[in-house]
Formats: sequence, C-alpha cells, structure tokens
Amino acid sequence: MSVARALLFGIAALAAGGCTGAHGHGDSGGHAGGHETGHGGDPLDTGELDESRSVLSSGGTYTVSYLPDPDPIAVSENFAITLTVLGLDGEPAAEMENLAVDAQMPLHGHGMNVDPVASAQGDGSWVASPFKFHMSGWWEIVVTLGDGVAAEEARFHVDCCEG
Amino acid sequence: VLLLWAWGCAGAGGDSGVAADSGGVDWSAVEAAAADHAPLPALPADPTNRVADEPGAAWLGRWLFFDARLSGSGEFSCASCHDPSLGFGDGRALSVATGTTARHAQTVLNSAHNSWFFWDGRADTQWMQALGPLEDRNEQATSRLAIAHLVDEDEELRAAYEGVFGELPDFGDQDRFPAEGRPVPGAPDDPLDVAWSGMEAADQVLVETVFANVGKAIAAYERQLVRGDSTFDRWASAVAAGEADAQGSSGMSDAALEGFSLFLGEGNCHFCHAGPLFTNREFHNIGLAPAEGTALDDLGRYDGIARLLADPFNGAGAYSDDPATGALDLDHLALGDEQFGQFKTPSLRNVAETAPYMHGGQFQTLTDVVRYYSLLDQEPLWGHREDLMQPLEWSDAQIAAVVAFLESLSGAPLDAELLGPPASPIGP
Repeated sequence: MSVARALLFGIAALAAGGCTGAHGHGDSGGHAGGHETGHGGDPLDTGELDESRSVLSSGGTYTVSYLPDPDPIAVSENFAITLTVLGLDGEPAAEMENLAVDAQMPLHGHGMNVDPVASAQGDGSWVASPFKFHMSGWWEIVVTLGDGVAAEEARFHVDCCEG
Repeated sequence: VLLLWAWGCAGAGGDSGVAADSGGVDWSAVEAAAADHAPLPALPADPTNRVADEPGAAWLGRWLFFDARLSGSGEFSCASCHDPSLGFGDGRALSVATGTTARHAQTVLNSAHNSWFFWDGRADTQWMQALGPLEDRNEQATSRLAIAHLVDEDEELRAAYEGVFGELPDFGDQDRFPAEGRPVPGAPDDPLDVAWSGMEAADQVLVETVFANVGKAIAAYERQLVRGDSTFDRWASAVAAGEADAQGSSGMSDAALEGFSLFLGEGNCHFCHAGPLFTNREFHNIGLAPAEGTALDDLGRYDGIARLLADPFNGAGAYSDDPATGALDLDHLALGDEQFGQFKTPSLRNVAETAPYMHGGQFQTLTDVVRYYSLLDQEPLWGHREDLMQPLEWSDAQIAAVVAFLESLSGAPLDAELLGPPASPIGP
C-alpha cells in the first residue's frame, strides 16, 4: 500500500471511530422496545421487540407497511420487501418520488453486507431488494421517505430469525 | 422426548467437572439447537459451472488438482497447500510455494457450501477460486497461456478436456499464442503482460475459456470433498430420533456436550458460526492484530470486494455459465468502512484437522483460538471488532470443553480414491 493510501485509510478509520463506534448508520433511535441504542447496550438483548409490520412515519405523515418475500426471513438468505405507503388521507402516496431503505443491527454496530434499492411500483407501493440478515438477533429496517428537510423515517424491528 | 433427553444427558459434565463451572445449563435449549446445526445439507447448486456435477469433470479436476505442471516451476499443485493428509490445508500459518502467501491456506473440505471464497471473498464461485492460486506469484505462478498450452500439448489431458468441454482450439501458432502470458495489473512492462497484451482479443477469449474450464473441472472435484457424519451429527440425529442414550450411541463426550452448551450460550459463537455449516457465510472483524509476516495494509473484505468486481472470471462475467444468477450477489454489495478488516467466517466442520487458525495463521491450536475469544487481548489495525464479542473470561476447563465440542465436528473419512490423483485424466 502506498503512503498516500495508508494515510487515507488511516484518516478514514479514525473518522469512523477506529473502535467500537465505526459504522455508518448514525443514530438508531426510535426502538419501540425501549432498548438503549448505539453502543454500550447488551449486544444480545433483544428484549420484547415490537415487530409491527405497519408503523407511522417519524413526522406522522405516512403509514408504512412492509411484507418480506420470502416470509419468514431466513438467516443469510436474500429477501425482498414490499412497502406500502399511505398518506394522511389513507390513500396510497403515489406521488412520492424518493424512498430509500437500509437495515442495521443497532446493538452490534453494523448493517448489512448488501445495499438494497427500492423501486416505485406506481401505485404507492415499493419493492426493495436485496436484503440479507447475516446474523440472528435484532435488526432494524429503516425506510427514508422523501428527501431533504421534509424527509421522514419509518423503522421496523425484526427479531431474526426462526430456523 | 425431554425426559429421554434429560436421562441421556444425566452424565454431561459429571465426570469432567466442567458443568460446575458453567452454571445451570438449559438442556432443552441445547437439544432444540442441535437440529439447527445438523445434519450437513445437500450441496447447493452452482449454475455458473455447467459441469459442476459431472463425474467426468470431477475426474479430470482430480487429476488437475494434483498436477504440479500447473505451476511455473513444475513443483507445486493445488495439493501442495491443500494436502489431503492435512485436512486439505497445509499445516502452516502462511503457505510456502513459489513464495510465501499473504494469508493462511483454508481447507477445501466442504467448501462447495461457501457463498464466498478466500478469506476476503474475492471469488464468488468455487471455480473462480481455483484460478487464483494458479497465477499468483507466491503460489503456483503459472499463467493462463501456459495452462492452455499444457492442455493442448498433453495428449491424454487434451482428450480428457475435450470429453468434458468439447473441442479444444489449436494453440500451436506461437505468434498468436505465446508460451506464457497473463494480465499483470499495474505492470505493463512485465513480460507476461506484454505477451498477453499483444494478443488479439478473440484469441485471449479462447485462452481464458480453457483457463476457466480448468477451474470448473477442479471445482467439480472439490465438490466431492464433503465430510459430514461427525460425532456431533450422530448425536444430533440420535437426539432428533428420541434415542434414550444419544450420547452413548454417538460417542459425544460429556465435555463436548458442555462445550456445545457454551458455544450456544455465553460464548455467543452461534451468531456467526450459524447453521449446519457452522458459519453464516459472511464476513466479520474479530479484532485480531496482523499476524507476523503479513502485510499491515490488509483490509480484508474491503479490498476483496473491489478485486471480485474487477475480475472477469466472477460469476457475473463472460465465462460464467449463468451470469444473471451470478450477478444477483454482486450488484448490491455494500462497500464502506464497515468492511475494513473483515474476514470470512470459516466453517467449523473438520476444524480440528486444519490447524493453524485465522486468516494469518495467528493461532497454532484450537485452545489458543478459544482462549483468544475468552480474553480478546488483541486490537485490530483496521476497522472495529464486532460489538457482539465481549471477553468471556472462561476457565481452562470451559475452554477445554469448547475445544472438545469442536473436535466432535470432524466428519467421517473420505473415500480413499479422492485423496490422490487418478491414473489418467480420462475418466472411466
């Protein structure tokens, strides 16, 4: 490795934490189960997760539901999710142009090894894939609706996985 | 069933003294978990290799695996670092062939179950993995052109190849097909690169097709190197069948059973060493410092992804027999600081036969490995240790119990015929 590369990665590692905080998903708050989030919590304590598949977005504008395929989710196997987004009037939010998805293990300090993409289906629903939960335990699916200051988040909790 | 299980396990730890160290054990949970880890499932299909399950290809692959002519010096074959008598490893921390390798040689046993190959996952298929050491300067140090000529010029080898893959092109024109040559990234003046770059693109494809097929034949052989039916499997099977004396009929020792309970319980080992292969087939940073003699800039999976995506022999490439399926896993790989210092979670099956351990061969014995997980007395140079890992502070007896469990994962011996080359590359 060149000196320049060593410096680059050294800086990157330090910026990322270089220790137990190095992950790129930011604050993982909003856990319905009431766990302490981020580092310092018991990495194994999933407690009693609220695994609702339909939640209100952070700003209260959208009701977001998801369905995995296949269902149930299996450890280390790819799956997709279908998201349904309803507006305040209860109608599909078909006008939404930007929606992003990700998933993380808040108590382990890492996310997935794949980057899923979401595709609008034109009727207020989105299909996002691939997801892969490569460990059992508490996963959090994070859906970002819209962009900029108006963006809202919907978070789903999953205790992965049976079998 | 629970009553039978309780009876069958009544002696667990009783003589070894281990149970007293580990406190109360939820044996019903241990029983339930046995079914998550056994038996070894059927091999996954490899649609990127159309001959993966053809006996003729496996026969040819077995010949090639042991053929030292597939090296620049004529001294080293795949078996040099994947020795059947050493669990298809080489017993060294780092391998020594044409040079010294950057990482420890992993076993080939059960590798057809892998999703990724090499410690950094820079290959996504078994046949792609087989190609890497052939051209690595520290390993077999030959070239795709030299291999194409070898197959072309050896009458038996050519006949065996054509029996599996169809007609071989004529590589006899030395102006079109130099004796040696391959791409050497970043070294355009290297004679190997000069020879390769001077070829017509269509001729390069002819050579690379043969090269890829050699890898596919070797992979077909390696798919036969599967060892299940371990003591643990027999115990799990007996438990599942409700046998009254599962321990007695399987030979699972008290210590091994205690070790399995620690593996599932406070060890948290099963989070990454999941399922019947005892691996989640993915990558983690376990916080090891670089091993002696290894590069300080080894970023593990971070670099592996870049190499995988740039390699024309990946599962989505032109030499794949199913690029669309191969692309499914390649098109969405996450690449960021989380991948710093990550290495593949190895299967634990047959692990007692494949010392030393870890990507740099950091530990000589399983006891050393388990003691590391107990102490976590190293720090990584890159990235951060998986948060799941916390010092276990296990006693020597607990460490010994986990080692006994790991020793119970050694499978039944392979058919002796698979441990050496056939008399001819042409199958019966």
